[in-house]
Amino acid sequence: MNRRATAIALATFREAVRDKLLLLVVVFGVGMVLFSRVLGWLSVEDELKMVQDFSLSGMSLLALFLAMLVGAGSLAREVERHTVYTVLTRTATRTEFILGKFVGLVWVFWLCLLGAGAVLALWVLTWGGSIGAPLVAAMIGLLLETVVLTAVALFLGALSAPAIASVGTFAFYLVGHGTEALRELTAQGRSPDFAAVYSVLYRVLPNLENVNFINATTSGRPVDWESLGLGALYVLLWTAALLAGAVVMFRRRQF
Amino acid sequence: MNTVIRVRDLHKTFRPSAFGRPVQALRGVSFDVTEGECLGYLGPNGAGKTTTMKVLTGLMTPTSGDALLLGVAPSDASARAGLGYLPENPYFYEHLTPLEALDFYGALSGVSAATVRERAPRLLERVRLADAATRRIRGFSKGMRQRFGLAAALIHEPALLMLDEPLSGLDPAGRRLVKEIILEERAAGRTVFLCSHVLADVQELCDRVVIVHEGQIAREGTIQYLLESGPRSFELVASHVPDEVKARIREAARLYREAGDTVTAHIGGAEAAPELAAAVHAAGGRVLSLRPERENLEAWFVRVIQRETERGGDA
Repeated sequence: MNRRATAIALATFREAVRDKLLLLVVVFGVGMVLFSRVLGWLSVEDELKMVQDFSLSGMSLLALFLAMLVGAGSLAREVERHTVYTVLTRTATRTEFILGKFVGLVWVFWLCLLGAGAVLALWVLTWGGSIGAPLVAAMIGLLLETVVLTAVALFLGALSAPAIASVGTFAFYLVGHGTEALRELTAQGRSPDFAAVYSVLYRVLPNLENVNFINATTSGRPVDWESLGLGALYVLLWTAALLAGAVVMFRRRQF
Repeated sequence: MNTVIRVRDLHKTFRPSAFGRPVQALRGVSFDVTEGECLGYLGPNGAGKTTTMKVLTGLMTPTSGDALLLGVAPSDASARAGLGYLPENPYFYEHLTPLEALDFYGALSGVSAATVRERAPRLLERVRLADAATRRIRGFSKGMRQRFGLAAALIHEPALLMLDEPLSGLDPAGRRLVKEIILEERAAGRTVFLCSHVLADVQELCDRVVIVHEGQIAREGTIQYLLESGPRSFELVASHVPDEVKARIREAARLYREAGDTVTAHIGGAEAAPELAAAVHAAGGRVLSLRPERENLEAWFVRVIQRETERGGDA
């Protein structure tokens, strides 16, 4: 990334971390982690498992809300407030602008997730647990999910109005976490007539379960680092494709 | 003299919606701006000024025609290296401080961090924002934003300053300050392309104007030439004027006023006023003054636009 894109990323980061909207979303995320303890008390199962499960799921939702509320409208806000005029009339290209916005947003969202992750780690340690590889793998998975959700939000934001971009990001998240069901339907052979369709859809639709290590963490299974590596590669390819799409759409925009 | 802006047969057509009628914002606009000059780009609302500026800054691509900025198409980022642009009602990243924002704009314009650190305090001092250097832009008044915008446009010491309504929202002291800065930048050899509705300011700052009307160039030329080529008029002040001469003056005058035994009349045309002055003198009256009046830019602009509108209506 060159100096111009880095400057845009830094400005995006500074703007976002000083915005009250971000604070609200972070309060929600940290609140979810803290609230997990209450569920832990009510749970008949392992308290610590419930705390981790609920907290990590809450952090996944935090990543979604950040992408929907901050990421999806970020390009539209630049256009609406005309700040884009002061950027694109300099030597920065539109590609650098999209790349800078993306990196800046990812920095902010990662900071929020790492903050919530730190609260979770403290929570786990406080209640006698330990921070092991499974929890780290789940966190890495969440950070990767955040990357692709940010790219989706930016792509849809370059293509449409913020509300539509938010809904689209939400749909991507739902579909991304539901794709595994298609594979199960195909594998179980319940609908042989639709098996081919399910198979194609499974390959075409995004699959965020590739980086979802929450269940593996809470069920105590050993970390499959190779799966995590492949999952990382998978979401990074999706991210690259979405960013390329965002650049193409944004380059066509007339201000 | 080098040509800093070159525009040839520029057309821009918008389609407001998929099924809406296309709107021709620019219809064959051509003009040049040469190095070191200050050009006022004028026109009524909706004439195509902002569209021209957006094409020249690379924010918009033309439907057809050519625009070159320092010899390069504005869509090429390198063309914008020498451009300092202040948009109308500028908005900046609200949560940044002026120092952070200047650092940002400097980086976007290829200025080294060390140079920005050296220039930024001086620029903020120059636009009288030194005291607000570490305050967030969010709390700035419209005038402060405008002055900051000028500092941001100057951070990379561009060859060309493109200013869209640079004096709007400023108090009298702010207006004076911004005008002084524009004049200083001109004196330093920078080319200025200025859009403004305040024609007295344009007359004060610019050498030449281009008037755009309904997407076409209606007039262009140096301010001095355009005003001198307009209709001449004179102000005649005389006293002790006999009644029959008074009647002749009243008949010829565009504006006529009597106070005591003094007559003041504004008389159009090159010959009528000197003839009436001679008549006053011959009839025993006293000619106190006979002063040629120059039309100001605003009156001239209104007349040109009226004429263009009538011509458009006739067609």
